[in-house]
Amino acid sequence: MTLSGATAICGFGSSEIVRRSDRSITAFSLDAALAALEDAGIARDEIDGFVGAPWAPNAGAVNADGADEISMVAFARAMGLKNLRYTADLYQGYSTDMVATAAQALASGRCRYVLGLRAMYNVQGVSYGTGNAEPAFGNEQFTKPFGYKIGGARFALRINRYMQRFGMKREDLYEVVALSRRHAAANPLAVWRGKEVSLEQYMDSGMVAYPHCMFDCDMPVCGASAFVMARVEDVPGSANPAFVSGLAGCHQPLEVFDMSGLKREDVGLCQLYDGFSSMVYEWLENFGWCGEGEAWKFVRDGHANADGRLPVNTFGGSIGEGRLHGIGHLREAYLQVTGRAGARQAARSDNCLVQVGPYDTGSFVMLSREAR
Amino acid sequence: MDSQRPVPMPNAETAPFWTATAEARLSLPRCNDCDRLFYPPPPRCPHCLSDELVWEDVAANGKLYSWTEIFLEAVPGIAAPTLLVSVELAGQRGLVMHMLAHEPRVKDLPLGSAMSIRFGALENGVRLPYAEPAGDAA
Repeated sequence: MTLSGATAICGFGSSEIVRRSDRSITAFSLDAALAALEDAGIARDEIDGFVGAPWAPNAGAVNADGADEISMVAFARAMGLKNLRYTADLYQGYSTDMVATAAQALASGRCRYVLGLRAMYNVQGVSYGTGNAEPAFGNEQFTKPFGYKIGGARFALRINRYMQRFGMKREDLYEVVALSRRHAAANPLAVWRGKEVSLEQYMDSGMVAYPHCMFDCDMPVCGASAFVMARVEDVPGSANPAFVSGLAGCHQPLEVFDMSGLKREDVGLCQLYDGFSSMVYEWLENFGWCGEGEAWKFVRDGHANADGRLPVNTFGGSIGEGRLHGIGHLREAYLQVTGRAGARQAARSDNCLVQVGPYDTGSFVMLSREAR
Repeated sequence: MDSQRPVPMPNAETAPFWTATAEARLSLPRCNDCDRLFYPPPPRCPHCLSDELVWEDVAANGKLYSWTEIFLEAVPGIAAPTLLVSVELAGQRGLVMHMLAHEPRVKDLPLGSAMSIRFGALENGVRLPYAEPAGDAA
């Protein structure tokens, strides 16, 4: 048995995405889950599997259930789920890991309909991303006294080295932000919809960690998205399935192609994680769409635009939509592959690659229109 | 008064590192079997899984690998902006240490410039390493 084409995402739903809210993360999660059930044509009591990724990853997180995180236990109670046979909270996992976990649980027969949920929350009265004076335990001994994880400093170190090695400038990094805002214009959920940023605004804006300025960072938001997955034979007739054709982790990334039987040329578009703008370069190079040190030219020259050679982050990415930590990327892949992306619909959308997570973690999902 | 800066809390694997920095020495564990040095100190060699790690003092210098200037309040007790640098240890390709630098001139140096690792004031029982361009007075 192969996992490729054995399962499908058969519905997706989202809450609104807003900068701040007095509604709880639980309320946003229910909005997303109910919308996903309706989209899939599945009743609540048919859900017998749950996969979540509850971690609030920001330095200023309170990491409290129902505040900036939502656990399976809290969510199942709020949603009145009573028939769960398989559950997994992937604490530091991503939406792509959620798909892989759900696919395995479904294919092995542990459950029939999995609800996947990812919610993010911008807690009021808490500084989202700054450090605190608490002692540095465990691995933080070697990071926290130096601010290594504040404001994406570790990613800033990586791109600054890249820029110096390959002659790239901040004006070039701006092109990722400009692309994200352009694409977000056609995404009704995006917090930055209709708000373009000029090069002048970009160059004058406040720095976060050089070379990243405010616009290079995804915006903390309150919001959630959810999906329903099933084995192919269990997809409701009314639903719009996107088949899970490939899965991989970042140690063996090419398996996403091997499993799906697809080549790079078969991929019409990509949704690439952009917690910071510079991250989108990684896999354009690692998967060979461009050579080492050339991804910034690929973006600058328009090849990643909606009408380019390989459209990237057609919904605006996290930078254009808001920081849903990768569930927005999966949602967009689902909508594109099922032909329901509206004004954003790409010319070639039979196969969409989704990558979520930084260069040294994260994973990959290939969604396809046809079962492979 | 003690600094507000986060204080490293050593464990069995990391204590020799902090004991050495308190004496203004850079000491790292070496795998006896693979002959590699590691930072941060691991419980075992991540390559061959040997637990024969031997601590040794190493030269506290290297090359500028990268830098960033953090404009958020990154480290309590240190006023923003904070200059964070990566130093590749001399003769140890791929062994990169991240620490603060206080000399803004680092930002004008090309990658690969010679850097010295120095040790700050003893606070809360710990001296934290910092980096500066080689040749600057301690």
